[in-house]
Amino acid sequence: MSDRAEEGATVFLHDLADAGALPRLTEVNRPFYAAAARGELLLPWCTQCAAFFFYPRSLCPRCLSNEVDWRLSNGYGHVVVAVVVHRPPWNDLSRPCPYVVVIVELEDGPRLLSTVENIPIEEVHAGLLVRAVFERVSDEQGLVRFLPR
Amino acid sequence: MQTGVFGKKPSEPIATIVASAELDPAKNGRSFLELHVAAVAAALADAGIAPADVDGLVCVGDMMGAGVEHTFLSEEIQDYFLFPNLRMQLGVQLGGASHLAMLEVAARAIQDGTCARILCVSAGTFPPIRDSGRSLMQMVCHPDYELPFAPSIPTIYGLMGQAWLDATGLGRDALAEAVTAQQAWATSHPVALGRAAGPLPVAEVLSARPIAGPFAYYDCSIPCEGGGAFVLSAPQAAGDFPHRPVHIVGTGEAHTHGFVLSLRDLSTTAAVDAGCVAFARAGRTPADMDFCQLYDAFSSNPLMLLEELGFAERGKAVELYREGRTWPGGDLPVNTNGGLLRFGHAGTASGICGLLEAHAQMTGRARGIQLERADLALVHAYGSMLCSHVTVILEAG
Repeated sequence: MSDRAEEGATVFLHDLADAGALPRLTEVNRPFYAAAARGELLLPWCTQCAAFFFYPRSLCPRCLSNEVDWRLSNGYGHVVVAVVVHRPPWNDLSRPCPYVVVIVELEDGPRLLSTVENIPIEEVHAGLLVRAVFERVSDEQGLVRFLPR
Repeated sequence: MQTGVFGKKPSEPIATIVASAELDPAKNGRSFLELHVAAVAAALADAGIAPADVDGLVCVGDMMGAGVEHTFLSEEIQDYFLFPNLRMQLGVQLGGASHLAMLEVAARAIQDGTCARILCVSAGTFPPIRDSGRSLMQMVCHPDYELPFAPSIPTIYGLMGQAWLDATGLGRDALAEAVTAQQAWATSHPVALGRAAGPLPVAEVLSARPIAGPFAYYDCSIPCEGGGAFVLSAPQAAGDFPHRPVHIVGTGEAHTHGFVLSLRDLSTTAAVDAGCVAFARAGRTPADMDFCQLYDAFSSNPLMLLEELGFAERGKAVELYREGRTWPGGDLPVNTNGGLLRFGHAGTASGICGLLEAHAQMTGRARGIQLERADLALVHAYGSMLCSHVTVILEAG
């Protein structure tokens, strides 16, 4: 895992993903994961509503328009709620436990379920300001995680 | 006939539960079909009827990886008993709310005259949690946007439970109150799986090994095998059966999300709306209820549900526990068999448990502590990750 980085620089983390729990790449999710592999948080944008939505879908869940575009998010947000996981969901989970699963609300609006890394677990709580960082799983696939900022 | 806003007068029953049977919660490794067969046979015996007397069969489809051979479960059961006179057969699937959704569908088929006697059944086994954890989580998580971050089921419930604690300013000790009270019911129940642990003081619940977020070991339900079945008939025909009739007088449903990342307010569930509809249909209020059976996969759930269903102000349900009102001898008994937390959580069959306990109480046949007053009951269950909510109001005839 990387050290806490300076604000602004793209940060990559390593060795957290579980190989048995990675998404299957599809036409709908590929842009999101490819961007994350490059270190970018790319979110689906409805051109009719002029607003982000999450997660990526083939149509906008608000207006059903299929004029879906992609826009970069600055990756800043805050923790809505945090849970420390003491017992892993499956026996052979590769990452160390405990870890912190959170719901993050981005300044751009959408919410993501993810983890906050590189912070003592007891310091993660609702309201904590975070920024997106990336775990490159392959050239086509990155996971979006968060660090405190 | 003058009808109310929901197509019936508030006091008018929709259909009547005339018989029921429950399997003991256990860890015996009985097969999925074997459990269903035992439940069906016991319910038929309780009703005093034969397969030929049944004209509706409803079951709950497997949700816990019982195997592809059970894809057509209702047909499997039909074939085993060779029910000769079915006019309706159906498998229902709505997570832990399936069983009350099954009751709703069956009650409507009684109400509209499609069927006269419907057998509803559900049985199952909670699989070994962490051995089958990856496939278990594939069932309940978004595969692309949740699963990669390795949440457990307690993690997802923990996100919602913690959001409720954050919103109300309460701590984990509030959750422990529910466990302690339900253990008081379970210790008096001859087959509750948690019985042997004896009384569980709040301090012991709090100091158990941590699982996820606000939940430690005793805040999570006990996995087991079990289930049961019940028989519905038209209210006018309830006198044909040996037990006191238990009428379904109101049901309500509401739904907010499929995956937790889509739930905007994590501290409130759709129980608010499901409860309002059920009470309106029944022409009743929370104050009328003699007791409640509230689906409780985790300790936060009965507290949140008591508030959302109108039994307490937000953040105040814990006082119902601290004052002993939800305990044996209290004026608002909750989860009188110990609930999923202390009686047992039978996987696919989970949500039938509260309904069967309500029926046992209302017919004077509770195996644990029999309530002196059990004429009006609320049963509530939710499906999957607190997504789909069904409330049922029962009134003894």
